[in-house]
Parts: sequence; C-alpha cells; structure tokens
Amino acid sequence: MPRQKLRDAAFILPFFGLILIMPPFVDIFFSVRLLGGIPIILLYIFCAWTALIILGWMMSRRLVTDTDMADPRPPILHPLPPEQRDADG
Amino acid sequence: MLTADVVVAIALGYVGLLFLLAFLSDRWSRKGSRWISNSPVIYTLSISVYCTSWTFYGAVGSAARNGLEFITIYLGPTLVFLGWWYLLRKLVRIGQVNRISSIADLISSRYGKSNTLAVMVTLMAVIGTTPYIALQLKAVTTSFEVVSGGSGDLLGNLSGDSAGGIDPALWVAVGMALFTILFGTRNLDANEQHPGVVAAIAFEALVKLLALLMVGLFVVFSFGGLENLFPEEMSRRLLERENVFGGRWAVLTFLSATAIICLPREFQVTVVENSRESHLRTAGWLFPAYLLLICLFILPIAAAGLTRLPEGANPDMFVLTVPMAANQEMLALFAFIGGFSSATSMVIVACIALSIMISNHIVMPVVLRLRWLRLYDSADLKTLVLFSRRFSILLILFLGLLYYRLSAQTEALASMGLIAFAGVAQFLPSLLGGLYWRQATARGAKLGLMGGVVLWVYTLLLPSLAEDGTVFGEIVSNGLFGWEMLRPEALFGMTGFDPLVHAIVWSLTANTALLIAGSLFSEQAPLERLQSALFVDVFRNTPGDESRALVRSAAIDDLRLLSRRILGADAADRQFRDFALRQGRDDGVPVADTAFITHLERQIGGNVGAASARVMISEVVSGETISLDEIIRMVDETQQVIEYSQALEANSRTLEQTAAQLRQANQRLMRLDTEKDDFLSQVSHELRTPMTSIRSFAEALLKADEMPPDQARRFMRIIHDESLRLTSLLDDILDLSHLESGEVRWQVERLDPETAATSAIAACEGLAAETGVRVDHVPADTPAAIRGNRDRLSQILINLISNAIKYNDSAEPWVRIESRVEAGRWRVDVRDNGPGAGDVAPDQLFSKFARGWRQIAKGRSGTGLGLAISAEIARRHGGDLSLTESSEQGSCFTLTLPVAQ
Repeated sequence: MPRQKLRDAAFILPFFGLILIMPPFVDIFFSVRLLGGIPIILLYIFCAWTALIILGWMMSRRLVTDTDMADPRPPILHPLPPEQRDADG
Repeated sequence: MLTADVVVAIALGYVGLLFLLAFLSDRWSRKGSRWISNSPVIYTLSISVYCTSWTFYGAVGSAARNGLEFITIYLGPTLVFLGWWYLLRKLVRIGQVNRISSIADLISSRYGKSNTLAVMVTLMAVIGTTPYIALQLKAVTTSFEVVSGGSGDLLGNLSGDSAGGIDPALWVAVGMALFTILFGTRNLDANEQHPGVVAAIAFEALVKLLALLMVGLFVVFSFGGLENLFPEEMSRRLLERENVFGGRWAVLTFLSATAIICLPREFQVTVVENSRESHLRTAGWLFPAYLLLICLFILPIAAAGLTRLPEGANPDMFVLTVPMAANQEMLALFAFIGGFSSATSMVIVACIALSIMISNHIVMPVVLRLRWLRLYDSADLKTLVLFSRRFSILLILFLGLLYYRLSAQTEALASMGLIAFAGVAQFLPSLLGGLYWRQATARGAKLGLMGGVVLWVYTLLLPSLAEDGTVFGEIVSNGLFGWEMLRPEALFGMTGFDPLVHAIVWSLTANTALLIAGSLFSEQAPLERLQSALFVDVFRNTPGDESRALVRSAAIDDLRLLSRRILGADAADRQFRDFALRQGRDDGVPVADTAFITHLERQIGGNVGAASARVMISEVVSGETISLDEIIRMVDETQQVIEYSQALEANSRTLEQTAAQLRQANQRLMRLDTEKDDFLSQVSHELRTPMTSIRSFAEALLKADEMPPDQARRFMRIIHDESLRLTSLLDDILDLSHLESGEVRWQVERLDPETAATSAIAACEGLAAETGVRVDHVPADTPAAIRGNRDRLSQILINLISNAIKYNDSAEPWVRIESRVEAGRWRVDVRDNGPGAGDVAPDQLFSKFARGWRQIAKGRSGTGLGLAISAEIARRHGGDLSLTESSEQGSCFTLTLPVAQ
C-alpha cells in the first residue's frame, strides 16, 4: 500500500474502532446468552478489540520510514571520553 | 493463615527488590548501557501505570456493580493508542524538540510560555491527583488487612485503623517517598528521564498483570470451566442492565481516552520519559493488548465472588477474597503483591510528575522574583531545584495521606477515579487546540481552563463531597442561593442525566466554547505566535527555525554563569563545547548568537520549565526582537512545503505517464527492428532465388560446348527473365525506400481522380482478358478534384486491380471498381470475389517487412512490395489505403483521398 494511503488508514483505524464499540453497532450484539460459556456481547467486544490490535500491529509494522522517525535532537558531534561522561553524572 | 508479619515481610522484600532493580538500572544507564531506553517493550509496560489499584481491585468491583461498564475505561486508551500516528506522535515530537517536562509545561510553552497557565494546570493536576493517591493508599491498607486477616473479615468492611496499631498507609507513603526521592530526583536531567524508575514501573506492570491473570485462571479452573462459572443467570445478573450503551458508555469511553493523554503521570511516561519516537510503533498495539489482557478475567472474577462469597461481601476486594475463600493463601498473597504494585507504581510516577510541575511552575517563579537569588549571586540553583522537587514529593504524599485520613470513612474515595479523570479532562481543549489550531491564544486557553474547572468543581466535585445537612448538601438539593436553576446536578434544568455525563457535558462544552471565543476575540502576542507556529507545524519546521524570528544577543559569560547554575558546571560546559564544535569553532567558546541562546533556553527549560527558563534567559539577554514578518514567513514556508509536495505528487504522475509512453514507443521500436530483420532476410532470399538460377544457367551455357541452339536459347531467355525480375525487385525496393525517406519529388497537379481510375483499368484490360476476369467500373455521381500525381495514383489502382485479377481463382471471377465522394473525401473501393487475404492482420498487409507478406507473395509473381508502396503513396497524398473487407467470398481494398478545396 502506498505510504499516503497507509497513513489515511492509520487515521481511520481509531474511528473504525469507535464505530465498532459504540451504539448502534454494539447494540446489535447485545445478548446475555452464552456461546461456548461466554456471553455473546463479551465475545463480540473482545473479538473486535483483538481485531483492532491485529490491524494496529499490521499497520505499525509498515507505517514507519526512517525520515519519519528521525531523532529530532541534534547529534552530538564528538562523543565524550568515558571519564568525562562519568564526571557529570 | 497468613499473619500480618509475614505479609509485611514479603511486602518489604518486594519493595527491596524494586529498590535494587531501580538502583541497578540507574547505574547501568549511567554507565552508558541504553537497554532500558532502547526497549519499546519496557516503554509500553511503563505506560501501563494507567492501571492503578483502581483497576486491579476496582475493575472487579465495578463489574460486579455496573456490569460491562468497567470496560470503557480500557477501550478509550485503546483507541488513542491505535491512533498514535496522529496525536501521540505529535505530542512526543513536540516534547522532544522543545524539551517539555510536564503537561503544564507543554500548555504553557504553546501559549507563549505563560506562567499563569502553567500554575493553573499544576494546581488542577494537584487537586485531581491528591485524592487519587489517597485512593491508592486506601487500597493498600484495605488489601493488607484483608490478606493478613487483621481487623478485616471476608466481608471486607474496613476502617482505616489497623489492629496492630501500624497504619500501612503511612509506611507505604514513607516508602514511596523514599523511593521517589532516591530515583526520581537523583539529579537534574535535561530530558527529565528516569531509567531506574521506568525499569521498576515496567517490572511492576508485569507483576500486576501476572497476578490478575493467575487469579483469573484459578477462578476459571476451580469452577471447572467457564460453563459452570458463568451460567446464563449469572450472565444476566452481571450484564443485563437498562441502557448499557447509553450516554454513560460514550462519555466514559471519551473520558478514559482523554485521561490517557492528560493525566500528569501518563504524560510523564508517554511523552517525557520517551527516548525514541519509534517506541510508539510498538506501544500503539502492545498497550491495547496489555489492556485487553487486564480485562480478560474481570467478569469471571466478579462472577466467582458473587457466587462463592456471602451476600454483602465487598466486591472491590474480590481479587483477594475469592482465592482466600478457596484457601489459596499463596495466590492471595501474590494478588496482594499485584495490587501493591499497581498502587505503588501510580504513586511513584504521579509524585515525580507533580513534583516537576510544582518545582518548575510554582517554586521557581517565586524564587526568581526574590532579589537575593538573582542571577549574579553565586547560589547554585541546581541544588535548589532538586531540593524543591524533594520537598514537593513529600508535600504531595503528605496531602494524599491527609486526604486519606480525613475521608477514609466515607465512600467518596471510590468514585474519586472518575472525578479525577473529569478534572484532568479539562486540559484537553487547550491541549488539542494548541496542537492543531494556530489561532488559539493564551487568553482563550486561560478562559477555557478556568470555566471548565469551575464547572467541574461545581457539578461534580462538590456533589461528591456533599452530605445531607451541610452547606454543600443544601446547595446540591436546592441549588446555589436556593435557585433551582443552579442545582449542581441539574444545571439550568438539564435533568434526567447521569451526574457524570451531566458534569462532562457542561464543563467541557463551556471549556471548549470559551477557548474558541477567547481566541477569536484576542490577539496573539508575538512570542505566542512564534510558539504556535513551532508547535502546530512541528513536523515541517526544521530545528532552529525559530532563531530566524527571535533575534537576541547576550554576553557569553553571562550565559555560561546562568547555565552552570541550572545545569551544573560539567553539563553546562559540555553544552558549550558541543555547540562551539557545531559552529565550527575549536576554542570551545561558542558565539552567543540567536541559535545558541535558543538552544540554551531549551536546555534550561528542560530542567525548570519553559516559562522559568524564559524569565532567566531574559535577564541576561539584550535587544530581543521578535520579527512578526519572519513568523509569517515561516508559516508561509510550511504552506509552501505543502504545496510543493502536492506539486511533486502531480509531477510524479506526469512522469509515470511519460514512462508509460516511452515503454510503448520502445515496444514499437523493437517490433520495427524485428520487422526490419525479417525484411532483410526476406529480400536476400528474394534476390538470391533469381541470382541462383541465373548463375546455374550461365554455368551450364559455359560448360557445354555442344549445346543445341534451341536449348541455349531457352537458357538465355530464362537468364533474361530472371534478370528482369531482379531489376524490378530492386526498382521496387529503391522506390519504396525513396518514398519512405521522402526523397521522391513528383509533380503535383489538380486532377480528376476518375481519370486515374480509368487509365488504371485500361492498363489492366490485357491482363483481365488473358485470365477471363470481368472488370466493372462504377464512377462517382459527382465529379471531384484532388491534388496529386496522376501516374502515382494510377500506380496504386493498377496494383490493386492487377492483384485482384491475378489472385482471383473463383469460377466466375470479377473485379468491381466503385468510387464516390463522401465527407470531403474521394473514395474508391476495389472489390473482388477472390480468396481474400486470409488471416493476415491488416496492418501487416501493408507493411513491407511483415511476415504476412511472405504468405501472400508465396508462389506468385510480383515482388510483393506493391501494397507497401501503394500505402506509402496514399499516405503521401494525405490519403489512406486499407483493407475494408476480407472473407472467403472476396475482399475489398479502399483508397480514400482528400478532395481539393
């Protein structure tokens, strides 16, 4: 996926999650009956949650380029010799 | 049975372990090992300081009382972290570029380094956090008494006084104060990072997660699986509530999402302690996963407590009492340690965050106003800062303890978590406005914050403190001054809402509205405008941009003195040396230019906050001017960058198109190239055949002395015919190549194309009579005139007609030449009932190089170049020659030429 589209997807993801856990969608799954010993509503919320985490994981693996994550602090040009470094700690 | 002594000993041992861990990590990191700051997992774990004992014990209690609602507290942060790329990344970037030390520092820096704002935020944070610390102390005390079987029983109705005469809260407070002072104020770090604390917090995060998971697993398995634990009536009892997903569900999700950004301790671990922006990549999904694991067994534990424990047992202690009721003492002890971890980690981080805020924004400004501490005195401000931090920590813990002692008997503490969330949520409008809205002003932020806090106090805090019969109780039931309209929980007649929803809606709406209105009706001061440009466009500005707009100068010795007093001599000298090197000077003394002063101000700001740093720097700086033009230009430039990148995008689209065209052209060239090779081999073959026969007949003539004259004559005729064929082939090739290269010049005249047709038909009459082909001519109704060369036009038609005659092998062969004028063009069809052109592609038919050419020309007289030559002539006349029909029943070639004006 092109980078800009990936960023757009990253922008949408939390809102997608919001739609999943807010009425009216969450109301559809509101049932206290059990499925495999787990209330259906609970099952739905945990499944949606897991899906969001997996999506977030997949996106975060690709979302980063070196320039995006450059350390903004100016580089230290000359690393200090160890004795000086200890001295100011 | 666990005795109090055993529990105390184990808790002490655990605390000792934390001290050791923090001590070792601190030492490693000072020796240059960076595994703590390099690890995104440790970073993520430290963020889970969000899960306090309010989570560890309170989530189960909340689930037992209010069902599914507890989960909203974890869904909000999940959404915020999933969207890390947009909000958290910007916060972290701003925090790192500007050396932000706390949320108060961030808001104050953005709005022109306003100290008033910093003080407001700090006070609000202290008000919101103190009860929360009290809540942690209470949780530790209560859990201690439950697990050690002190005055508590399984019902868990406890008082603040312990049976043994020791109040664990006091000891916890003392222990935490010691830990925080030791590892949180060890020295002044320009980044306000505390690797020792972070390592300990991360460890505690693991402990509390493991403890909760183990209690959960125990509960599930001791009941023999989920089916027994969670029968349908239990599911109904826990989850079936009226309007679960109503306003409160939405508001709680929003509130928790806000809290993960605005809580001072969360800001501290997420932004201030962040050493790499890329850690957010991991935290973006790992922290939601951590929260999911925390929530996994909350409902089962609540169900187990409701089933197994006697009616009326305190649900807030189920995590402890459920294992204890099953005589699982070790598990209960582990759970206690888990709860202890969650409480202590919150207390430690909250104390650090608040102490930084208090010392930077309340103590330092006061100190700076005192004459005897002014710059030219020799007093070491660094020690003073550290001292004020330590004092602040003690003060905060003392306040927490006091609050806990005063309110331990009331139920007020239980709801404190959400009230604190609502309090810090008041930072949100100023924070987001500052991050994304260039025009937000300090005046707007102050107004918004003030209005929001006042409404928060009035609609939420006050009712929570109110008891019947007191003044507060009177206000809550009848409104301020007895005005019904001002009832705190039904302001201006807004009734029928949950008190929390009511308070959030009022306070945040007012807060946001005041921020917007205040910003629209006030002007930004120059410094504010600069800061707003730096913050809003943090990803587009290059570091050092602001020194263009903020011009000032200072004496280098004053700067050195000042920075030595704040940063300490060694660190200050190192800053000077580094910057001198960056300026390309090797004498170690930097030029005190605008860039250096700005750099130094940031370093100092990292220690004492931006507002105080500005005051200090202003003392030694002279001639400060802020150029509005430059600021405007900066903003413009970022605008240009956006436009430029859009232009780039458009450009690259054009490039892509061009590349596609080039690819097509290349393919065409390659095809032409193979066609050319094809043609050469074809021509060679065609030339070789007559040459071979000429040679062999000539040799036969030479060798045979005695040859009958008839035979010799026949041989010479063959040689003659073959030479003619050779010549005509060469003529054709020459003709074609001249035509194609445009070297041929012929006489162009205005002529009637029908005459060319007539002469062509006449030329072919002999051939037609010879083969018995009927030739019909149907001329156009209207006369037409074209510009062209008569002989060449005849050549095309002769070629077409003679081909049609020669190759026609049907029983009653005919050829029909039909011409007409249509759409400004003269058109002639040469139609026959011959075998057609077969499956040769039309464009190959007219190509001199085509493979199809070979098939057609095969075994037939003629050079086979006729069609190619004809098409070329037609093209040169501005016309077109094409095969319009081709089938077994016949074919039709069409020549069109433009009619002359």
